[in-house]
Amino acid sequence: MGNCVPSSFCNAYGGRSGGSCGSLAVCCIYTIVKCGEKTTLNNTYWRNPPSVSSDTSCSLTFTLDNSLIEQRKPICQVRLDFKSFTVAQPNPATSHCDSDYLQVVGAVNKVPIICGDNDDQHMYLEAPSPTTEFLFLMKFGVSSVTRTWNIGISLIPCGADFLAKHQRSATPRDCLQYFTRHMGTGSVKSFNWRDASGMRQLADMDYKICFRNEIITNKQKATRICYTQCITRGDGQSFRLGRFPSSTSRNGAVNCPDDFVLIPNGFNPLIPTDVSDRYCGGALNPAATDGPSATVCFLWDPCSSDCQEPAFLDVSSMAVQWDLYEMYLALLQAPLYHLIIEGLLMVWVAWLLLRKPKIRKPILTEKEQEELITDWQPEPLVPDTNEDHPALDPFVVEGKVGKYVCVNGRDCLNLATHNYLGLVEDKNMEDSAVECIKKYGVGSCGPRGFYGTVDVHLNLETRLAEFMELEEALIYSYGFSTIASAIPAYAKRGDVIFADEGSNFAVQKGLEASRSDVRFFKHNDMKDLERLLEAQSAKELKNGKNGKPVRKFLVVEGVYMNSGDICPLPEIVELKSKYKVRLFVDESISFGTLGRHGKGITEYYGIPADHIDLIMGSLEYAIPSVGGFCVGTSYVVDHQRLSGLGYCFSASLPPMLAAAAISAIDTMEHDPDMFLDLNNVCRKLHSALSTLHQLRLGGHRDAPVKHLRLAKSTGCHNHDGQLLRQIANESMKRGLAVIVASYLDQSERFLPQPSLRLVANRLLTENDLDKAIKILEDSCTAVLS
Amino acid sequence: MAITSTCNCKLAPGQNGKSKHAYCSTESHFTDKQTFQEGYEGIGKPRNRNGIESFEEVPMSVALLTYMGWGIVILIGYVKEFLLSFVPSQNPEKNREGYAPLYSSFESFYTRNVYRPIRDCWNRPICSVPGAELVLKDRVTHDNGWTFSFTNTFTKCLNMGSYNYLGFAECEGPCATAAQKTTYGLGLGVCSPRQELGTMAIHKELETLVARFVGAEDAITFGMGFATNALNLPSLVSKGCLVISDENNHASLILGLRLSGATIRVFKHNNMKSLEAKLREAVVQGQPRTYRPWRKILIVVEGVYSMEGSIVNLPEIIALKKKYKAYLYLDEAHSIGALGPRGRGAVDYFGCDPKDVDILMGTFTKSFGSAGGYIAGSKKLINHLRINSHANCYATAMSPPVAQQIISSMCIIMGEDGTDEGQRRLVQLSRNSRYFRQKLRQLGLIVYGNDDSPVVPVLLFMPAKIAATSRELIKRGVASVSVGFPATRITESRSRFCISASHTKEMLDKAIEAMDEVGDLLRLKYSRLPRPIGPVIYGEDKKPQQDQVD
Repeated sequence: MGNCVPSSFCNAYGGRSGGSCGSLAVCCIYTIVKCGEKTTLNNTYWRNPPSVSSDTSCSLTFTLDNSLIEQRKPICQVRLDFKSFTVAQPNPATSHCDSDYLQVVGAVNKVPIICGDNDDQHMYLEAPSPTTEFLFLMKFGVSSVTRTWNIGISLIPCGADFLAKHQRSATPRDCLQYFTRHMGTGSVKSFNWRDASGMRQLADMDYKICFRNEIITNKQKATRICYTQCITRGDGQSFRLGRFPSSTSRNGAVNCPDDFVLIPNGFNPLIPTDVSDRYCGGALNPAATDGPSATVCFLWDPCSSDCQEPAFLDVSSMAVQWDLYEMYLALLQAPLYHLIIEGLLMVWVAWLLLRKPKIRKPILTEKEQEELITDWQPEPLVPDTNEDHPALDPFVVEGKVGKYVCVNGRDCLNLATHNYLGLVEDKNMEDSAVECIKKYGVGSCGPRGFYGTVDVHLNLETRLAEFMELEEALIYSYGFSTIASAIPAYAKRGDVIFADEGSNFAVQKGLEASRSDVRFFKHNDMKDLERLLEAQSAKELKNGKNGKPVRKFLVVEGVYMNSGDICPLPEIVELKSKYKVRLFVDESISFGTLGRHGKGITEYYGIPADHIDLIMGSLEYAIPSVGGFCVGTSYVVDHQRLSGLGYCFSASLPPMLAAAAISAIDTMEHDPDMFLDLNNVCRKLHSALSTLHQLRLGGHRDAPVKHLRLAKSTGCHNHDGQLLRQIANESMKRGLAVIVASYLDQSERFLPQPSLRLVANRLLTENDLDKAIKILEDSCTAVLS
Repeated sequence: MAITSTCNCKLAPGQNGKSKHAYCSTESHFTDKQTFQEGYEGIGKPRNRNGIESFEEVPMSVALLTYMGWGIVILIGYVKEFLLSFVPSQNPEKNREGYAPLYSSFESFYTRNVYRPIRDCWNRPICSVPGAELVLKDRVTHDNGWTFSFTNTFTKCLNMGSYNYLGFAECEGPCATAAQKTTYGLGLGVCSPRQELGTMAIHKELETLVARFVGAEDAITFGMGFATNALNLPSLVSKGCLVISDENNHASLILGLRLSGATIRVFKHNNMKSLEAKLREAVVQGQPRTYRPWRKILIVVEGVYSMEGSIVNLPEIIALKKKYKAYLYLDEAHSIGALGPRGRGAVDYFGCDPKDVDILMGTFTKSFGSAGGYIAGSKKLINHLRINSHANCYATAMSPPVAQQIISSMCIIMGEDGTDEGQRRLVQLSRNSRYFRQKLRQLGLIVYGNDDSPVVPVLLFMPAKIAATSRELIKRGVASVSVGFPATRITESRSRFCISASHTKEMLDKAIEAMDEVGDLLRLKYSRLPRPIGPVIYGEDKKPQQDQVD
């Protein structure tokens, strides 16, 4: 017998594993083979040391203390099991254990001193209080006998019922020996009895031997217990008590004055009149006269044990004692399926406890629901519109929107549309578009993936990549969607985007669609940008190396549509490399206008284009067609062919418009001086506009887009807009087409101040500029004074 | 005889090909079958637009094999990546050390290992007009799909891939001529948004015509169909509004809705029970947490679903919309021109009143052979959009020849060019669709969608068959479109045929024959439904009848 504990427990206490028990534990056997040891462990085996010499002693101290972790329940009894026990025989003359003996010190009940052969014997020791010590003392005299012993020591907690399972009674107290046997048969030996000749009785024995009443048949308890002498095979005598020479029975107080076995009211079942209490002599017989051995029975008084005991165990006190450690041990011994089921139950309980309390929707009756449905009045689909809004009555252009434009029936010089290079009137573009219609028709009737890729598209992509001296280009069928699709193709939830406050609306929509964390820096303010970058890198540093690398993007415009400013690319590239941020540049305006060959912002600053991760451009301004494009390395650009929503899920650009764009690139490559011309016009326009007194000029002198704001703002956004609109209308009447930049006031992230947006056109001459300035001055005067 | 006052009772397609139901839009008028019949008789002759919608279920064994197929594809990919991990790899980017990776690993895994080996099935370049036939520019790959090079040979194929429903993708004829003329007359680029100086007379003309065509008070047009959805939905709904959207709605609608900030709930594809449940819950429960009533509810559906081939159950949606006071956004990208006896989309197909659809949206890319999109509806709606639409305010106006192409083709469809060419094309398309679909069904192929829909998806299921079908069909001179995950559900890879009015019966027979061979070769004939018996006679069944209104 061992303790079922985790193997680590067993090792810690110096035990030895005797096989597994339960799912995670081992049967731990703890054996002491030394003298003078102390122990506290249940199921300890005390064995003789390898050699036991004469005239020595050997002891074991067993401490009971229920504050110890291994004795969590108060211990009331200790059972000694003599697995084997052989020491010297008692003095043949006196039967006293003079030479060798075992003495138990510390028990409440009287424990006799024993010696000789006591294999398979046992003893119950009563513990005086929960805290005590037992001393088991072996004393060895002078003898040649080989002393061996192996004594199991087990602890019986107070109130334990397993010894009296069927009787529901507490462990009988005061019994040195207690026999429990299934079916209720067995043999009882006195100490040092052995099937051998000679006098083996020990002196000074005075102890009780108790028997548990067992259920024997039909779940009935026994009504009596009978004792019969065993038949010996050797020289031994199965019953011999006292120094009487004959082998006949003796009984009664007179006949057995000193040594006897007491069987209260013992009787012979065959001769019920033979009744006696004390038995001694050479045979067991309750008859009045000496006789041979006979069966002696004892009637179990039905009330002696059962009725006086409480009928039920005190369950509540048991529950208290069933503490954590016990639970833990039980857990270890439980079979696996049990653990799984309990685990599932625990998960279920945890789920019940932790799940979000579901808001119980009020259960409404059908009628209540119908009422709600009847009562609900939605807002109108769209709110009422202001009938005077300028967008409802836009200027209507007849004919081409070229350098001159016919607006509302009046020819005007056009400073309003983004026809920077004046290619709207380019005959070659129109010819190539018409040639293309003759071959391919107008529409492509499908997205790029599904037979919407016409060789013209591929040519345009190749040409754009070559023009920009980058690896790959990709075209979209709409300029706005290019920007708004390209950004979210890369930037996703969890990424960080740094963007300029002055970004145009397409960029804003792209940022919004990406669902990334967008941080705006002040327009063209590199200090502010660096501050944001620094804050982000500090945050990443804090997260340490374990943090996932955060994708960071920086989105700027080459020339800002909303202000006409040029971005400080050299500083931006420096910051971008320092903080490892990917740089996306919207070159819608700068492509085809800045740089000696119109290659945009990179050429303008002389910075290699491969510093920029993605260049996004438009085919709707410098190249007056429709569509947009992205250009960069294949690694970056190719991704949009599957992930750019506006690329994948939209019909491709009508081939004729792509063909026109190719023709425009031809012209641009063929005649690079046009960029010089444009730059001249830009600068001249800039200096001319700066002479206006009532309007304040914004924007870079090299940028083709200029913004004029009221020099003296009225302080009211709408009123400023109104005044500027009047100036535009006035100019229109006088033959100059200028417009107020249109914004959606509610939707803009940072609503720019109202302004007249003027656009430089390569074809403008000095005269044109003079005329424009004159008209603007006149209109201002007419409106503002 | 006027039937336009309300969308009166019509036989609408039964769901799942099992049942045909009578739908009443105005339930108060017709509450049971009896009165419905009376009402129906009262209107006049029934129109034969009761195409059956069918979505045959995947056989269990096929579904298992499909999952297994994907498993194998993914497994091979992982093994390959594992082996490649021993090869010292170069950073694909120069000068970008220390940058966070640009792409997420699964995304690029899928692209590298699943898409790339069969990349040749998409983006096939053409070098002709995408009419009834097209000319493919042949290309080969020597590195398993990483790069392609042109062979300078050309293959002529029957075009079953383009959305050229009415055959207006033409390089000659009145439309092309007019577009050429406009190019010279008005130029190509406008270089300005509509709100600034980009509004031309031709735009106004186009918008008036579109409004007349779809039967709405006013219309507004935009330069790109995708942008029409993506840039206008945010001006129609916003936070506190609920959008109930079909699960198979197009990416542009989803993007637009996402940008709008409105709450989006999805109902099962074309499933009216699911839609009603969502509507009812929305009206009864109000907004989550606050229980405040929704500001407004918008139902967003498409006329014809381009991957399912199904037609929206418009009459019932209109009935539900009225019952629950929701608004309806109908994207007719694939249905305008392609459906209805007068080619005016799903509204015309069911004979509904266009005024019952609050927002009629459509594109010009498909049936009109041009580009761009429109939104039509009440004057108030269009005015609101003219002021608030992102596209109208910021995006460049439509190119004049593109607008001209729409005007020309629309006039032809309306018969205002003085010929019956438009009517001929409409009849041809309708005959072609029904003939082609029935023939494919007869072959035992699983064909999804409505009998009248010109979009014909044939189910392939297994991933390996996506490329195989596409390649085999090209070998036989038929250009079709094959799609799989993520464009479809993972088990529902399909090959799609788009029928055009420019297809002749002989062309269709060629495609059917090719599909028969490929179906046997690749074991595509999964259908367990009883096949239509007897010859399918071209053009015999149910001609769309000329309406008596106009």
